[in-house]
Amino acid sequence: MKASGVPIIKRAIAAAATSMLIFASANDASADALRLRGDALTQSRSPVGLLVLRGEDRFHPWIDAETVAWLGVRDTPDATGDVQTLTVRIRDPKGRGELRVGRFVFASGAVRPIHLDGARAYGRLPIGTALEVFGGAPVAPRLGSRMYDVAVGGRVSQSIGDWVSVGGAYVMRRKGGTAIDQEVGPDLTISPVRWLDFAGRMAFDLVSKGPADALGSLGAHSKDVRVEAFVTHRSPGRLLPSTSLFSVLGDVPATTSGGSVRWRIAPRLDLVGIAAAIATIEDLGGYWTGRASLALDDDWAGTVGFEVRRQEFGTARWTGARALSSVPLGSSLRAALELELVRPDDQRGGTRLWPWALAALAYRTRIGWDFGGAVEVVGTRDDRTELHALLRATYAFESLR
Amino acid sequence: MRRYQPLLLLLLSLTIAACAGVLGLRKTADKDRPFTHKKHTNAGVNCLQCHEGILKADEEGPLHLPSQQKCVSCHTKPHDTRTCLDCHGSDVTREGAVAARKHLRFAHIRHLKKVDNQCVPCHVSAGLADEAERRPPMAQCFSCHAHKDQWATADCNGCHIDLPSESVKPATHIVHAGDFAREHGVRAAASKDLCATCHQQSSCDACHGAGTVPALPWKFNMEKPGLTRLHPGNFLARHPEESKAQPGLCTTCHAENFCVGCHVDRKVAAKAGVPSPHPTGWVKAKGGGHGPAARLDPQSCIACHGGAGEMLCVGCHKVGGPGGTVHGPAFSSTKDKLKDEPCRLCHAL
Repeated sequence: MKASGVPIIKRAIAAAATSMLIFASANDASADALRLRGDALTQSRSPVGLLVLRGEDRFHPWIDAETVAWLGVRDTPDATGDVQTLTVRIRDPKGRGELRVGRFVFASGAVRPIHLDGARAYGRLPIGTALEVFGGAPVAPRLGSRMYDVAVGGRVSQSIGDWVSVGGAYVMRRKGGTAIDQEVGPDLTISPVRWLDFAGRMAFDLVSKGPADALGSLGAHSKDVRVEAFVTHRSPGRLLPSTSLFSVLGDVPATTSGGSVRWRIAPRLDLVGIAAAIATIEDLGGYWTGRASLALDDDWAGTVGFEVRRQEFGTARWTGARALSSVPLGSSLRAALELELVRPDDQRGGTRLWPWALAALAYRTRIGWDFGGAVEVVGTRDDRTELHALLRATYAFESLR
Repeated sequence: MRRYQPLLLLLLSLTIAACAGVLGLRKTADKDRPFTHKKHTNAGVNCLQCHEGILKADEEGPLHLPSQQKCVSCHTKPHDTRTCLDCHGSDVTREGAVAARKHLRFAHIRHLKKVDNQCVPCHVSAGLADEAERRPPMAQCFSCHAHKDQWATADCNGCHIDLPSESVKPATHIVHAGDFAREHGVRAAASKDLCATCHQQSSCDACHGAGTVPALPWKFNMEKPGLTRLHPGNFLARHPEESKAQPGLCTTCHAENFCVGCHVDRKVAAKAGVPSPHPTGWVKAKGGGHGPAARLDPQSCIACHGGAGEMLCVGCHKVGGPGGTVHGPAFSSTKDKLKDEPCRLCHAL
């Protein structure tokens, strides 16, 4: 898609307008039982229009369709755009199976998510056994095509009541006929009692023979408190396609282990604390975050919050603070303000701070329109200050009656 | 310090007392005085006296909530001239009943027959407390085998007319607060059905797509800063630090050449005329800082040297070259080093 060399602001408006026009024409053509949504976001930094269309019908619940596409403008003379999702789903209303065809992300079990043009079939037995398989061509951005690119895989799982689910997944991706990813891995969730749960998964790279990505999380909660212990283990070299030159650097994994606590200390006050240690064979570091959110009403419609964060690992060392507020001004208007200040430890060249602020106002009508506008002040890494504007227009249409 | 402790405790207590309203610790005046079911039940008032016609209520039709006439048939001398519902009975309760009618396939006439026209087997809380909410929780539905089977096969449409439009948040087993952006991957791995009750396919695609939308999704919700965000605030300024501090994390969503595409646009990728960001001694015949840094975070190298730029490495690290082997600890591969990419770039020369 090529655009002429007109000023960026004109192309920004064109991108946003095109998105809304496409949506408006789709809306005109609508019959019954449709859910349509169009978003246009114009940013002075990087304008983009997003179009979301969804058609479903409660009288024919066995079929639905969904698409998400965007149009954007960059600083270069190129306009850009892509289809993120374009699927038709046929399913058994009783939940025993479904078939999805089109462009979608397959994300299931322990293996990495894959964005593909293809099909996914899913079947489930009343005894809790489920099988899903998929196949297709990995997505080439901007509706491009690549010969001999293929991805296949699937997952089989078994659940026992509401308290155990165990599964195993496999994925293989080929690029130009060469296998670039091949992973297999188990996943498990256990919730023996209502207040305790465990979830874990591990992807094993079959090309370089080792764990690529593993996560585990053990959580316990009561009415007002939730405590979680977690561990993640990632091998950056194995997460890259095996055709990348950087995939041959070997296994230098990073393991992060930590915990988080969320405590509703008072009906209108939430506290969150997160701390983790990050370890590699050469470095040890970590991060911690503290966050407080205070509601301005019993329904938590308006909030103010404050957050502090410290990160320290290798040369990545910084401290930051963020304050935010979001207040409803009547039933259809909402105002928000965010302030952030980050101080990197590396103070070469004098005192360095990265300030950031965003003030937003949003208005929602009763007939499906939603407008938002914001001003963003950004402190850059090279100590410049930039001012950006954001404008959003959304129209949501539902005829599910 | 110890002698100040009582004073500090007193100060803390006074602060909490002063802030009790703000923190929601003090109950505000309840202008919608909830209807006291318990009082009526204990007084021996039969459910059907107020909820007349409920035994034959189908999926559509009136809600069978008591009217003004129904109240004054017993309370013959009202203490106020206004209608009862102006003060008694929460609007939320009535709105809840209307919402339930709109979103659920439920007919009292079919259920009451199975429980001998008794209300209490489902509305167990009717005589227990004074809160106005009397609709049975979903767990109550699963005490029946038919509904238990529907739950097991995720047949939500058996009861829910259109679940996504309800925007329900089952707070009992899903918490999106705290650090959910990090948690969601491991939880969704085996519980995708649960996620799918509210989220569409596009929820995954917005972040995990091959080429993600060039506007951060949170910017569409600019007026809701409290939402969980993957890239909050001034992420663009911080992103090198965030990437280095959690090796491999970026790669779990972004394709390997995602960074270089943006860096080329912004003219920060490696090319002639762009000054090197690396310190002196970054690349030496033996050692230098680039090797360990590349092993730790190869994505940061790819951000500038991705694609054709990878050949920069091969110049020194080819077999017999001055750079020596690039293979780090625990390296293994099933590839044919003379035929397959990228092995042949160094081994087949």
